[in-house]
Amino acid sequence: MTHLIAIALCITGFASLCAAMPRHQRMVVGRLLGDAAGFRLRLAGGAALLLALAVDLAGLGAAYGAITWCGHLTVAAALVVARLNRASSRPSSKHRAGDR
Amino acid sequence: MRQGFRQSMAWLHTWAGLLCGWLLFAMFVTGTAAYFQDEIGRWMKPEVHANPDRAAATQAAIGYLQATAPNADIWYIAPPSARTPTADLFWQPGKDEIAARGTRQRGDTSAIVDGYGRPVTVRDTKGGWFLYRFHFDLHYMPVLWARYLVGIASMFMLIAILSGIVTHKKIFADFFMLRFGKGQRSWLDAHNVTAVFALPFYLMITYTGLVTLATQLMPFGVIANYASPGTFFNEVFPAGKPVERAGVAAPLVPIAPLMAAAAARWDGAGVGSVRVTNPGDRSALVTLTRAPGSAIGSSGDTLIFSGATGALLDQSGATGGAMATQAVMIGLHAGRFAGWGLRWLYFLSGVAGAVMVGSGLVLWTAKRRAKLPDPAHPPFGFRLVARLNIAAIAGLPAGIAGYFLANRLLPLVMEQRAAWEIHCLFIVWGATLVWAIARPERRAWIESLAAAALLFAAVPIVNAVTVPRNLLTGLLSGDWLFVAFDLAMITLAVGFGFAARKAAHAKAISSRRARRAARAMATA
Repeated sequence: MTHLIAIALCITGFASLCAAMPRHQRMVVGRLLGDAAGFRLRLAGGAALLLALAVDLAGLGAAYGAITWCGHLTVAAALVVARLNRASSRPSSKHRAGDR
Repeated sequence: MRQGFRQSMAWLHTWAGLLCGWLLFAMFVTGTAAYFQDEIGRWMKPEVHANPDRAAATQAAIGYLQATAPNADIWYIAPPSARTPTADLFWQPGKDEIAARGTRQRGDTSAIVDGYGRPVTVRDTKGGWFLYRFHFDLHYMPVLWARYLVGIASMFMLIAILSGIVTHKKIFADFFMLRFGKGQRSWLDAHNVTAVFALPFYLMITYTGLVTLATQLMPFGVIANYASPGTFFNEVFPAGKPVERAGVAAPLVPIAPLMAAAAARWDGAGVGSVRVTNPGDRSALVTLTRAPGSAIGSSGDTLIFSGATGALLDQSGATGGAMATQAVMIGLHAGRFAGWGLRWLYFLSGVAGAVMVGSGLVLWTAKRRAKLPDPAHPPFGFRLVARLNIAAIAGLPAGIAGYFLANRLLPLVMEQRAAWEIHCLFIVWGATLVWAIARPERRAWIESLAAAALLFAAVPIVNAVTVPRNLLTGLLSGDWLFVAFDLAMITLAVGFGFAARKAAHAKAISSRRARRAARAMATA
C-alpha cells in the first residue's frame, strides 16, 4: 500500500514538474502557461515528491523508507517519460488541438 | 589545457565508458539477475518443493548430519528461508576420516535436504548462484584477477558517472526528453533518460560495489597495521578457533531454543546459518549467524552456544563505526535485506543500468557513423566497437537464456552437469560474437536480438515440456515462482523481439535515406 501511494505521489510530482517546463507544456497542457503558473506547478511537483518521501519514511521506517523512495522516484519518472513519449509520437496535428 | 572543463569531461566520459562498457554491461546484467538468485536457483531445481518451520527444518537437518557425518569436525547448515525451500549442508570431515580415505581429497561433503531432513536428489546446477558469482568473479579465470578487473571497471564506472553528470549540462532540462526514431538523438535521449532516472542507484551501487572489494583494491591499511593479512581477517571474521575435542561424547542440545534465544536477541531476526563444531563431543560449539535479510547491514552478528549445555558462550557483531558502515554499504549493494517490493525496485533499477550502459555503447558508434569518411569501409576501431557491442548487448542475455535452457535439456545424469550448463552460456555468447563478426553489422544486430528473443521465448515452452511445473500449473496451485519466472521470460522475449523489430525498422529508414542521398548525388 505504501508503495502504491508513494508511486502515485511521485507520478503526480514528476507530471507537475514536466508540465512546469515550457518545452513540454504544449503537449501536456495543450498551451503555453505563464511564468507564475509554471512556478506554482514546479512548487506543487516538488511538494508531491517530498510528500512521497514522507509517506515512505512513515510507512517503512527511516532507513528502508529513504532507499525505497529512490526506487519509487525511478519507477515514477520512467512511467511519466513513457507516457510523454507515447503522446509525442502521435501525429502532431492532434496535440495542437489540445488533446487530454 | 585549451579545452574547457566540460569538453575534457566529455572526453573522459566517452573513453572511460567505452573501455569498460562491455564488462560493465555484463556486470549490470548478471548483478541484476542476482537480485533474484534464490528464485532462479529454485526454478533451476524444480524437483524441490517444501517450505516448513525453520527451527524444525534445522533440527531435521542436524538429524541427517548425525546419521551421515557423525565424526565431522564442523557442520554448516543454511536453514531453509522464505526464499529457499531446502537446507544446504556442508561438513568438514574429521582427520581420521580423511586419513582413512588415504587422500587429501575432501570428497562428497555436501548435501541438500528438504524440511524434514530427507536428502533431495536435485539436478546438478549452480542455479542463480553462478550469475551472482559471475557478477564479480567472472569465469574461466583466477578469482583474484577477475576481482581486479571488476574493481577497475567499477572505478571507471564511477568516473564515467561523475564526468557524465558534468558533461550533460542539461541534465534537468532534458529530464523528460525521450524521442524515438531520430537516430543518434534518440540514443542520446535513451542514454540520458536511463542515466538520470536511477542516478542515485548507480552512484550507490558503484560506490558500494567498490567497498565490497575494498580490502583487495586498497590493502594498504591492512599491510601497514598487520604483520600478515590473515591476522586481520581472523580478527574481523572470527572463523571460530579450532577447538580440541574433549573425547567425551555428549548429545547435542535441541536447536530450537537456541534459535529462539537468538531471535529474541536480534529483535526477531532469523538465523541465516548454523555452524556446529565438534558435533557429538562435550566441546561442541553451536554458532548462529544472523540472517542477512533482517537488517541493511549484513556483517552477520553471531552467537556462540555450547553444544552440550546450550549456554551462551560468546557473541560478536559489527564492532566499531567503520565496520558498521561497511556492513551497511555492502548490505545496500547486495539488497539481501529487501522485501518483495524493494527487490523489484532494485531489479528495475538494475535493468535501467544495463540499458544505460548499452545505449551508451551504441551511442559511441551512432555518433561516429554519421562522420565516417567512407561508410562502406569504416576503420578497424569502429568495426571492433560495433561488433563487440552486438556480442555484448545481445549475446549475454541470449547466453543466459541458453543457460536456463541447458538446465532443462541436458541429461539429468551427466558428468560435470553444472559445469556444462555454464559452458552452454558461454557457447551461446561466443556464437553471438562469431555471428556478429561474420555478418553485416545491421543484419547481425537484427539476427542476434531476434535469437535472444527466440531463446527466451523457448524457455517457458521447454520448461513446460520437461518439467511438471509451469505457468498454468502454477496459476492453478499457487506456485507463484513458476508463474513469475515464465512471465519474466515472456517479457524478456517480447522486449528483445521489439528491439529486433526496431533494428529492422531502423535499417529500412537508413537504407531509404541512403537511396535518397544517392539520388540527390546523381541529380546534382
